Amino acid sequence: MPTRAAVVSISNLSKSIDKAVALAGRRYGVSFGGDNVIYNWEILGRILRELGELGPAKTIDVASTIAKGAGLKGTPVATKIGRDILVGVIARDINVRGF
Amino acid sequence: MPTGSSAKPRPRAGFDCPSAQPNMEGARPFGVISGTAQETRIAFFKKSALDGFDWREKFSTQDATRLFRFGARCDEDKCGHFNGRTCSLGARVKQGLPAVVDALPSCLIRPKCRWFAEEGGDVCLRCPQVVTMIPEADTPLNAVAAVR
Repeated sequence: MPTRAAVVSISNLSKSIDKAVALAGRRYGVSFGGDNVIYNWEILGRILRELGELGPAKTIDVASTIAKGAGLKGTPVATKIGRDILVGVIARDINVRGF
Repeated sequence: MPTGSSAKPRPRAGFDCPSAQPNMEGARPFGVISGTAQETRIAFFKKSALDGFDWREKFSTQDATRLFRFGARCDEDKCGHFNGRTCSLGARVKQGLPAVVDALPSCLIRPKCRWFAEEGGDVCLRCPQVVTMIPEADTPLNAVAAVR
């Protein structure tokens, strides 16, 4: 039975492209290298808004995605302060070790 | 805003091709290939999906049509599907393929789409199954896509 066409928003773009890459691999036997989408930092707020109310797990997912997409090495962190959500990455080279 | 296959096309100059290559003038992706290997479907971009997505950085080669559907300025006489007046591919898609959705997709290029302008909303109901680069096979899509 016919249905409605799917739509892709900014929040699921990366996942949709990953799916398309996997599908192309099955259809053509080809592979595409590397990460597929790098979000600009300035649109992070919009991504978070589209995701709606976030639990701790999802905010960490967002932080991880951004860190991976931007090629940042470190520990993704996310926290909610009132209505604001802060996400970021603690760079490895400033981690304090060996007290 | 049209909501069904009876939507009337709006004749307009400077049409866009809905099955374009990424190196054509005015090229931009308007959907990503989804579905299954046997039954592909286009997932259409909302306008916001393209904000901050620099597709040219990694997806500007012809291979990108394996992942995306591109719209671009219609090449008219430079294209084998143009019969001097209209796009014969759009007509074949409308006549030769079944409808796969029951409402017009949310499509970014419809206002300037040559297929919609010439064939109306019926072609939009078939469009989500169209993939610009298709593996060689004996399928209805291959039969429709062949240049005649």
